[in-house]
Amino acid sequence: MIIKTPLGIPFFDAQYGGIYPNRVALVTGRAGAGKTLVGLHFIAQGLKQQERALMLSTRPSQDLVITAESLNLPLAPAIESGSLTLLEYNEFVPGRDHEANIMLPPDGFIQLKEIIEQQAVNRVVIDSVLPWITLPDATHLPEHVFSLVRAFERLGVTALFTLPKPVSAPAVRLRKLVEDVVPVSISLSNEQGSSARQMLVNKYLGLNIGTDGFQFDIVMHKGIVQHTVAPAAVPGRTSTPISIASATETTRPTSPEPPPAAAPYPPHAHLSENATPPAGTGRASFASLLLNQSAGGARPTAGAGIPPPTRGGSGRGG
Amino acid sequence: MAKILIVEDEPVVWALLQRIIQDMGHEVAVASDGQKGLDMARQGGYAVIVSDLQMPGAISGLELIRRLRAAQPQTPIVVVSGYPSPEALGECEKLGITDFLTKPFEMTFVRTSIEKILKTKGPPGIPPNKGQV
Repeated sequence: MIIKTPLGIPFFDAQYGGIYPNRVALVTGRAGAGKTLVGLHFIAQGLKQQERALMLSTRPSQDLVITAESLNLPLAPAIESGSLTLLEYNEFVPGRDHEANIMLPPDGFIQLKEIIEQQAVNRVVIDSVLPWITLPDATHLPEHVFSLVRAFERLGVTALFTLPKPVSAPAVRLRKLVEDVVPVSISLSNEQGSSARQMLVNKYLGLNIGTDGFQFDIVMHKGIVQHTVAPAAVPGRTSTPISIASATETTRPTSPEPPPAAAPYPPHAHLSENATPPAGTGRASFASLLLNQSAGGARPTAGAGIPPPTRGGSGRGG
Repeated sequence: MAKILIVEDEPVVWALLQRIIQDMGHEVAVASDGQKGLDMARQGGYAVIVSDLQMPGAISGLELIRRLRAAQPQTPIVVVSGYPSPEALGECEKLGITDFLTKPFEMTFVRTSIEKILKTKGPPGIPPNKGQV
């Protein structure tokens, strides 16, 4: 019998028993749906189990720390002790986008692999995985995705990949390619005008998946919690969950989802959020890591607990 | 130090494999197609052979492995390949390859794979092959 490992989302773990250890799980959703927060829960759960964790994100490390703190998932102590490493995607390296180089394993992967091995990391979040699986020519995409997933499995880590919600046929295909080679796939959705969000399990190898999914809220100081029907309003009190947008991203516009970034992205990867390279770097190629590494005794800055990044992230997480 | 033979037609791939293996302190020889790989393997002395599956020419990677297996059953073979067909995977399994690494990400584990093989085999120094390949 396979002993699963908790994802860190209580209602999900209660129903499914967690996810498969040393395998990859996929979380898909549009910007703001909660993908990054699922990743933070996953990391926090690992730290609770005395595991070592790594998160590679398109978001600045300080933002992740602040977001996690606001949800009562403190990361700073783990960063200071070296049990958590936060990495940021850095700029995409100009000149590495020649097709001849595409099949080369990105130096970034070798770098990431070394960090995971040296630090004996058990849990990894790749938020988003898109830069690793974006190719100008989709011909080799299946083997590329297959190889990436196998590589993480060979590393012996339990990994969580996030992917923006696909909004074009080629992007749907991309998601399917990933979904086909991972045992667990979850999608998140957030309806406009509603505080409740939905988590739907699209695939769970070896189990029947329900069709209803879970309704959940993102609540200040609690994180992701299962949605409960609010009791009748009592004057002077509110039981409305606080949305993550108001809790941790007060500067994020609450207007409808921006249109998918078309320009520098290859045609096969139109997705619902802008996890693309910075403007001016041409088309997407492999991401260059890193990376602003926050771990292993790095002296924390006041408040954030991690040194400031030298460069910003290349997009937004969800 | 061991001698490792790489049989691979894509220069970017063999260059990377060569770099990784040389960094381990091993001697590397490269053959750019199946026939050359076969000729070099005939000379013997390789502790491990790392081979692609899809290669141009009369001798494909799979055929090369078949012939090597018949003549040098003890030589460990690590296959580096793109997306393998189930048939090719099944054939590799039947032929008793030692490891299977997919391009491009998983092949970066060639170091771990070779280390494991050499640890299992003991000190390098395979005598030249006397059989017909």
